[in-house]
Amino acid sequence: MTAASAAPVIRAERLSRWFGNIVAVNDVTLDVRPGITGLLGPNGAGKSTLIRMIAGLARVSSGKVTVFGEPVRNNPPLAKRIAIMQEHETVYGFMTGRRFVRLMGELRQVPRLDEAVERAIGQVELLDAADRRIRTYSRGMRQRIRLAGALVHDPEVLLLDEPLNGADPKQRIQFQHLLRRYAAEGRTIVISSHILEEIERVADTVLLLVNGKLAASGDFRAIRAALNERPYHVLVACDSPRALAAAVVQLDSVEAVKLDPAGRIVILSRNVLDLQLELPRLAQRNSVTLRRVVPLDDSLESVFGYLVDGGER
Amino acid sequence: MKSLFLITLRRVLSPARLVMTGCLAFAPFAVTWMILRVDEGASLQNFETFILNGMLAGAIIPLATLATARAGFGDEISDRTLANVTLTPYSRWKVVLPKLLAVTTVPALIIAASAALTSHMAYGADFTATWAVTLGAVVAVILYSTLFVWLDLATPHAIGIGLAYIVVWEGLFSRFIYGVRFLSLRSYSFSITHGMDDRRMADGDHTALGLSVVVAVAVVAALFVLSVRRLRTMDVP
Repeated sequence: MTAASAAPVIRAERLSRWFGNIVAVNDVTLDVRPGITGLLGPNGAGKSTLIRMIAGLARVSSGKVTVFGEPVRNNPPLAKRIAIMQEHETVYGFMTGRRFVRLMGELRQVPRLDEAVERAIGQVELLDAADRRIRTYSRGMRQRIRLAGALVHDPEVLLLDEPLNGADPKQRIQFQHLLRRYAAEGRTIVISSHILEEIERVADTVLLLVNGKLAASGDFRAIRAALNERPYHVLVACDSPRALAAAVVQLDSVEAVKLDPAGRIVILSRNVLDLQLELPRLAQRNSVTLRRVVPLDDSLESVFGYLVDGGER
Repeated sequence: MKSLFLITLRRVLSPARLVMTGCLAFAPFAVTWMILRVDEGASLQNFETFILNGMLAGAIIPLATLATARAGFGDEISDRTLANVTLTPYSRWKVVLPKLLAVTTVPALIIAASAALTSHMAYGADFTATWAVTLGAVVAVILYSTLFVWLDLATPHAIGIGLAYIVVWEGLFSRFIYGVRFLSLRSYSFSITHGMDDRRMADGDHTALGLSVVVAVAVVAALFVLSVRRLRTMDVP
């Protein structure tokens, strides 16, 4: 059975949460199946609130959320099957790493606790530092020991809110391997991030959250393809803008070219890859010296903005 | 439950809290000792009015319990570790109970020692009087701790509201406005002291011992239930 055909483990129906006049999550309906699901969105999009509602930590203003078909709020037995690693640090600095993971195991009534603690710490590769106090750990180490604390009871559902903050490249790769291994065992993992590439590397399915609304969901490649087709603005500074503008406008990949008041060229293109290849060649052919080439709307916010606006058009 | 008790106890036993509670608890003993050094015939009525009522019951017990009760939930809400203990297979009452026990045990022992030593010195080794004062003080610790544990869950301004309660309600209203004493935790602890030894705190208008015990138990039970309910309905940070 593929992940797509498996029954949804997490189900949210018309889920909303507001804090006074601020709507954090707005009418979100989603299904999450076993495998790795990326929850992508800019800062303040409502990712943390959504994850906390799925874990049962935050109240729901309206709508319903279930995990394994059961309500999540005030359902203590469900806590044995779920783990959450929140964005902010939730460790006790005075404890050693091993004591912290052990405590998490005790609180979740883990059988054969010693074995489970060693396994969880081993999975995050912190055995060497396990007997040091957590307050002496680096940020990345604290993230890893928190992950060990979340894994100690062998949860079927793992909710990770911005788990890669503070992790170095090596740790990121280890983390990705660990998540893939967990997903291969049929577990359900939701990982949130505001960094597109971070999600792209691990997630099979993506939920795109913008301003509390679910802007897009589904296979990452389909969303990525939609992103690739969007028009990009590229700013070019050079010593002869009019000559370069006249040459650039001939390219098939270019939709429009304009000169800004500072004498720089702003190019609108639907095929940035092609533009990247052609622009240096054109400059060379026309004896133009390129000084700067800057994508103007490469930020995640503009990508989300495009998807949301595009969806409303 | 043992883990929850121990993790809370670790917070209660932080050096800052221990020093503060210890200093507060030592104050009535030190003041009584100094007064008796200066005036061996100091009146017991003055001791009860100023040391027991004004100092121990009016300031030290509520302040010490306000500080230690924060170790129950207030600290975990502030440092956002509450999710660690709520996302567990335990029912909410099993989370509240060990925390309440932990935040009550330490100040109860320290205050009991202070009350016992102070009254032993003031009453001249009168065991009944010492026992009555000590028991009343421990009851006050339990009542205040339960109140402040709930307050920490109920509001992010628990310290401010707790201090206002100590000064305005217990310090002013319950002493000077007739009828308010029936809603004062302090008056029930004094009634228990008086009920155990009717020579002590004889000036006040006390509730009967049996009724005081029943009310104290009811207050603790009600606040415990409120804490459990609050933990079930609140947003866990």
